[in-house]
Amino acid sequence: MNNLLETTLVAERSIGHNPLVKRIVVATDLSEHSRKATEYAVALARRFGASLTLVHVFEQEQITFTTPQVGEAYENARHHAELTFLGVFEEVRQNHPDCEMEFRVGDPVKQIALMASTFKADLVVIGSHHLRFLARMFEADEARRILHTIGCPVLVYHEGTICNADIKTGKP
Amino acid sequence: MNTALEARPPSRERRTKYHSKVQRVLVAVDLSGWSEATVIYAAGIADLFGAAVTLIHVFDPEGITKVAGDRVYDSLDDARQDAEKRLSGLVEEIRKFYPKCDMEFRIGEPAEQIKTAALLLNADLVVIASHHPASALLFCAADQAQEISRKLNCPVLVYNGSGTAGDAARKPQLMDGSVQSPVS
Repeated sequence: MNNLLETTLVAERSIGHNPLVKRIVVATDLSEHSRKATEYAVALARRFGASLTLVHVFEQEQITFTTPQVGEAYENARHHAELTFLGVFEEVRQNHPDCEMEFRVGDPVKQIALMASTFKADLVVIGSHHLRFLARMFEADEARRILHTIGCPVLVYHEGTICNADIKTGKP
Repeated sequence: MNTALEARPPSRERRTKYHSKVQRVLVAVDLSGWSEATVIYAAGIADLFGAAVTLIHVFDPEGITKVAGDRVYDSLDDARQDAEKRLSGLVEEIRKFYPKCDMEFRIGEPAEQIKTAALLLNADLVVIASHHPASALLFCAADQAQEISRKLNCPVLVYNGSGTAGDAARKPQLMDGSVQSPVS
């Protein structure tokens, strides 16, 4: 009797009460690989019934705007990234309405960590193509620091990931 | 007209594009106290997909100080047997609430062995604790991205013990009711 009760309690605590995933933050650098990572995140969000927040961080280069033209080019690039990001967001929202977007300017690691914290993310999804992020993650100490800052599990989507066997076979 | 088109159910292509399939979750454990929480988290995900869970522990002889003499071989063998026994014990604990759980005990360099096992077992997801010795090697650096993607073709979920960002104070309970942080 006690054994049965203990087993039930363990199961409830472990599976039934698992915090799991209610909000996913997915970081995209707008590359093709990031698009695949985003699709994977959408699939997870659907499965979990989770909200999705798309984050794109436009990196603020440490440059001095010596001429108005340089400043203008920077602004154009930022505007272009924002429009591209909006397009990605609209496509995702059609498939997963419980979705929002955050366009940020600054350091990707800091901004992604900030967004994960702000939205109380349960999971951060990032493509392995997100080089700046992963280059820092590869340093064990830095990785721990970043993970501690983010404060939730991080799913790294690899370039070679076969995210959907159905896509390969063409079956629904 | 447009409204009618938009009201149609999503096309087959659209449905499949956002469809994920997870049939096997490979969980790398180092048999530390935090392993249990990592496996519980992974089992929670597997449960959602009806996926099988495989616990993998890699016994790394290189990680043990080398000293000459027969006694060392005994010690290494003892250590290996002890690790295997502890892995079996962990699997038994997990099976109490998630029966679709098995184990893989390997010897060698952890990151390489985890990647090999992921390929052999056709894992759809690898879950690893952030403090696991092999975790950083699975992230892949910029210059190693191609090499690693050939070897590991599934996502890696790095579990750092916190359920929700911004709520770092909340730690998942272990099965004995204690709370432990993986971040030293």
